[in-house]
Amino acid sequence: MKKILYILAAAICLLTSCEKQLKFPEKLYGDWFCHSTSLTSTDVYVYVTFNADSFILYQKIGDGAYRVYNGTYTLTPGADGLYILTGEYSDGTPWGAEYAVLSSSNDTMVLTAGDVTETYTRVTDGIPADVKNSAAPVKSAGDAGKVADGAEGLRFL
Amino acid sequence: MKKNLLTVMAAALVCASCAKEMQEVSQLAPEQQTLMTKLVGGSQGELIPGKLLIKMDELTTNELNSGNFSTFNGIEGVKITPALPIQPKNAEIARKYGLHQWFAVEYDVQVKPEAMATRLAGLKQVEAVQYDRYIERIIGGDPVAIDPAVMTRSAAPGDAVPPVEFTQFNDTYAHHQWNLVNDGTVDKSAVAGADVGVKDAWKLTAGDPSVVVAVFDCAVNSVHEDLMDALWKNQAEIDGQMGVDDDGNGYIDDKYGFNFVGCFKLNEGFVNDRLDGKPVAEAVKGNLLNWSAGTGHGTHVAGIIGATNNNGKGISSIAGGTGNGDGVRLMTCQIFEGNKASSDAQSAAAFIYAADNGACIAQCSYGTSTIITEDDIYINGNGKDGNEKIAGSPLENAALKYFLDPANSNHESLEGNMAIFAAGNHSNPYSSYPGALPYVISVTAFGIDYLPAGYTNYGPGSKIAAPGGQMSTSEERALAILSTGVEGCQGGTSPGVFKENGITDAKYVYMQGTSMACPHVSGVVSLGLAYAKKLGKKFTREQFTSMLLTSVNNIDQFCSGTKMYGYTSVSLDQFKGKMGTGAVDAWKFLMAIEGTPTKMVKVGETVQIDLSDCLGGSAETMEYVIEMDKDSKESLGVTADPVIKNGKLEISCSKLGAGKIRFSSAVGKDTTMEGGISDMKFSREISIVSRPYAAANGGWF
Repeated sequence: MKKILYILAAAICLLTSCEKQLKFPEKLYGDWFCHSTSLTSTDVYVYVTFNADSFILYQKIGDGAYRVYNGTYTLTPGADGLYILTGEYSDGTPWGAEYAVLSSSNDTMVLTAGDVTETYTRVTDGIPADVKNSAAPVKSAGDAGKVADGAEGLRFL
Repeated sequence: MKKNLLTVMAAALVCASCAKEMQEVSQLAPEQQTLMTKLVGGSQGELIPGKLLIKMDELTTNELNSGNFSTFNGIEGVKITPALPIQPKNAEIARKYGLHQWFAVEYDVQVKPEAMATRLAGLKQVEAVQYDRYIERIIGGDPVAIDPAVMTRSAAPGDAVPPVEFTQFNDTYAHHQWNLVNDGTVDKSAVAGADVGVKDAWKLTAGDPSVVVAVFDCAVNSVHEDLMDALWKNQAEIDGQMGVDDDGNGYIDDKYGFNFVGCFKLNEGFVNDRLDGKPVAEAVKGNLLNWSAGTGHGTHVAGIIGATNNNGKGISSIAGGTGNGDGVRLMTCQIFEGNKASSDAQSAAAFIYAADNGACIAQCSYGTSTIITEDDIYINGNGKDGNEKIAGSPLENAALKYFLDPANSNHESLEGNMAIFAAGNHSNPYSSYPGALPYVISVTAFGIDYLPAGYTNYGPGSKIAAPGGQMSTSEERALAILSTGVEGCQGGTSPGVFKENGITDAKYVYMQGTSMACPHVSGVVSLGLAYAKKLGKKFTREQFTSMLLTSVNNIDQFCSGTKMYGYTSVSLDQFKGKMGTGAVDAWKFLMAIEGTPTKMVKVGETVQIDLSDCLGGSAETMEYVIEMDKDSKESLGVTADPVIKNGKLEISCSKLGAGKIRFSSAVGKDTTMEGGISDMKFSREISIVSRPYAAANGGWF
């Protein structure tokens, strides 16, 4: 009887943990840090926050400072029980690739795109304040020099 | 700076009469030939009466400094004193540029300068002789006071000011300042982005008190409500006694800077023995700043750089902080006072003072009015044929180099100091000097429409463009640059201008010119230093300058067609590629300071990378040398050398990896002649990371 109870308890625990493991998209929500990437040729620091349907991305690549991007994302079920992560930046630029969420637990998430595999670890105490405070917003390169709407015909040309 | 320098026409005439002059030179008496050998510059211009500058050999320099004047025993009535006040702690740096060898010679004003110069040149111990003359300011228009009732030409008189939030600061007149934030609505001719790109830059920094900007100009109004908290303060002198050099820096009563014009007998004025026989108050009166004489030019310039932000008063400025005492500090080096200007020796002393007292930026809205086409002409006064002497400024140039020297660095984030000059307001196809020198920045001007201002100099010697404004009448004041003014100043040639149209507030005035464009760049450089400090970074002056010159917007894209300047139609093509590398942009500059920009490219494809945020528009119009080292090529699998096509970098990476590419170019060179105006070289590196995928905006995902 005791043995049966142990088995039953273990089964319940297993079912419970299985149910948690598969609970998307909530599993994605929160703050993540790119712990490793198969692209190791330069220093890469990426923090990302996934909210219900939006994301905020802080990235520092090479010698630069942090830049902050934001936008929206979609998580859809794919084949073989995988989820597919796609997104678009706020300036309308689509992500460079769609990601397969290879695995995800409370603490880690593995994303793949083509031959690249990236492992993210959950940041439990929030994205560091110095990262957030120092991050510069990304501007479009063509911001300067645009003629305001309706004013073009009035220039001294 | 020198009033009678060569004009292009004069140069042509000189060339035409070259043979004749050669003959005349060969007929000179021996003593005159000696003078020609030793003379730097000619006797043109407005000379200081009874004063010459001489450079002595080392041995005699030591004798003079020890009180032995026997070298001059044969010349009666001369008084020899050091031309510049050299602080003992900086003697070594001064020696590097030969500053210690220069002496001022005072003599009877009845003696002709040429005669005295000839006698002095005859002494074998004298290495060089220079006439000391008054420097020139850049002439701009009179100030036009702000009229809050007239916002733009698009608004009817009496209309309320459009409720547009231009900046994050609460300064009263910020919405008039298109030069800071131009969204294209300030005027019908306005082009969005024709500004200094500071709005987003302020999110990163709005200045830092560690940045001291020396304003070489009329004095900055020390009691102005929007400037008084932004002044560099020499607290020991402020708290000290009148007529006493309280801080021991060699300058008496220099509370917020020093008046190099009023302190006429410069060589004596820096030491206490000037007070001999005179009441203290009388003796030192000339040392005090005088901002009331003149048009308030220096006060206007200073406001653009560092008027206090977010204080609920007046204007916003580029580096005036956030209202928490965190803006730059403004030091006055007064080299103009009303109609009076300083001499060469006095302006040279001003550079020494700025270097010795903590300034890291020299803001210099002045320069020559006539065309000079060679560095050597400006520095040494050597005419092109080698036999003619025209005005030269070796002493000022040496002092400028002293200021720039890394040993005199006055900011923790910069090795050396920066000097920024106006390009000039004479519509000349050459920058004025000193701005055209290859180690300083010369600033051209554009208007609210992003077009070159009609008055701006351009062409060889020009390094970068900035807002200078363009108004033809006072009714068009909104198209000029709004900044701080001096109430009731008397120097304008249109004395009634302050009273028309019900104008009552002259503390804030509009002015236009490269004099106004220049402080925009000084302000942006100030922001750059503040941000570099914040990031804990340090750069050489060359690195810093390279980042500044490549962090620009493409102004050439607007230089086509024609524009009416007053009643004259001018082809804009003449400006293309000649306004410097482009229009200054504070945001891009801070981005460059953050670090080497990284571009992500997709592996296995030939891609074209937008370089506008790295090189500005100059990638489209200037020639760049592209260098990529072997390791970078191997890492990225690059087999074909990258090239620039239509302003974009074309590269193909066959491997995942990373590497760097360096772009090198030069600006300011006169390509139409050998020698002539030298170029300023600059370079910029970018990093390339190849991935199997890449978002077009550089985002990681």
